[in-house]
Amino acid sequence: MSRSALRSGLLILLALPGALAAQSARTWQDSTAKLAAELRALRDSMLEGDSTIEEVARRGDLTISASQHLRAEAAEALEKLVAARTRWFGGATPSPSGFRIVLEPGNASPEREAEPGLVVLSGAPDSGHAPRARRVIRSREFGVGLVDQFGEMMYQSGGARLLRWLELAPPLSMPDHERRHLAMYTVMTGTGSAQRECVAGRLDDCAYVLGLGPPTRGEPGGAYPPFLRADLLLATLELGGPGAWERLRAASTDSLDAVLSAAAGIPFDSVLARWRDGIFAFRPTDRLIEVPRVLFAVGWTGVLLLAALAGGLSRWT
Amino acid sequence: MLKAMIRIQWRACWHLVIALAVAAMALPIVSVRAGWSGAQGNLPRFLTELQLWGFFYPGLAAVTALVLGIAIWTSDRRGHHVYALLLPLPRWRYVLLRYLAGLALLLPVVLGLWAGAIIATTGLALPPGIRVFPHAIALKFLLALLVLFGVAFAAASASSRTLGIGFRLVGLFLAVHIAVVLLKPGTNLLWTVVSALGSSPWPLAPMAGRWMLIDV
Repeated sequence: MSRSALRSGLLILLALPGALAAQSARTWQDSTAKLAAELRALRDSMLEGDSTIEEVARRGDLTISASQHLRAEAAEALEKLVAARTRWFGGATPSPSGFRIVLEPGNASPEREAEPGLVVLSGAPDSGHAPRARRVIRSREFGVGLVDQFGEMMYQSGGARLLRWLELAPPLSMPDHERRHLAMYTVMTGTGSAQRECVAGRLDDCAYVLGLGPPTRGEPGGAYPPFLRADLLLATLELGGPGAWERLRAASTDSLDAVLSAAAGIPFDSVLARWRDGIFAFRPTDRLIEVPRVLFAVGWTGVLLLAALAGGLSRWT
Repeated sequence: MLKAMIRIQWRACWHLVIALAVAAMALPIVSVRAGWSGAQGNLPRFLTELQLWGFFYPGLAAVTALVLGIAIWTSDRRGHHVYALLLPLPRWRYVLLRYLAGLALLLPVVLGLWAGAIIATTGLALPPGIRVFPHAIALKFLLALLVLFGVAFAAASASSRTLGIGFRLVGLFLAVHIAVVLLKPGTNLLWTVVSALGSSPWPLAPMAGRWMLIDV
């Protein structure tokens, strides 16, 4: 290399810091985000280069496509997602740019590998900036995977404060009965002093153990596990009915109690009281045995006695 | 006549009845005492342990029904029914008297469990929201015992020929079950039948469900 070439290289190196400083940090951030989105879109299109993928069904702004052998499962999964979405989030989407969830079938059983293929759910407009997620899941659980992944995306969009408080994405795919039953046992068997007071009916203590208020006593004990916060959020959305999620998102800069109150459309104390009442409704009843069961048992006893009498009549003949 | 029958059966089975009554009384007391010391700090664990102890209630009901159902007919079988044939009674009435006397022998066992449940739960400093069910569990035990005793009594009173047919049918069903399991591992005929019998309105329904002496 000639001496003049070395000198010109040195000059360029000396000039670079000035040129870099000329660009604002904001511009760099924007271009990085844009590049990342484009890279994601490119990666998706490469991974989904399956010629058999075709649109299977469309519901409003949701479109599901699938490889040939996964079409039935994909259509079923979309119906589950539509039902869950309507119930919990109305027509809301995780982002104005839409979203995309890709499901890949996992191993059907330890002995047999899953046949390759893909299911792609797109939420319009599904631009390059749309949030994306990919899951490997058994094909018979596509509905569960889709609902849970969509739920996670929605919570991400609910604001940093809500996300920090929740810790755990509410289990949307869990049957109501199971979720409420588990929540009921968790509440009723809490051993901290504030937890016991919440069971006894003190809503201030309920707010504390749910991470929504200050402690009300010297030694309040621990808070409830994150699962109960998730249950409270779902109960709140249920209370608020259609539009609850939009109201929650609109109030996402307020305090958490205000957010929940806005979503439910009732004062925060009433939200807690209604949630607690709902939990109590799942307790086993005082009567461990219902009257019909008693009647059936007595009836069967009569039938068996008749059978014994018939046996007794014939046994010595 | 019923009194005489009860007296005869009591003489034949009193040691069994006493043993079963003591076991029934001890069960709730032991189940609560075993886990109570740690319950204040870990209620979920205590309730889970209590739920596991709960499996012993239907088990005890089954053992009681089987033992007493068979014991009641032992003397008749041993004497080839000569005593019964000598009595100036229609046969159906003799069987009915045996059954009613058998029910009388079940009473100490049920009362033992009821008393044990009350003793076990009296004086416990339970936190708010936790409740005790001594009467409900005793009633559930009584119902389970009634049905199971009916089954055992009917089987024990049947003729050897009928019992033989019954055992053969059960054996055949088990053989079919094993064959099905071998050919199609996901299918469990035995479990299907047991689950069906354990659901309302079928006879084993009183055995199913939770047997919780203390619950939320």
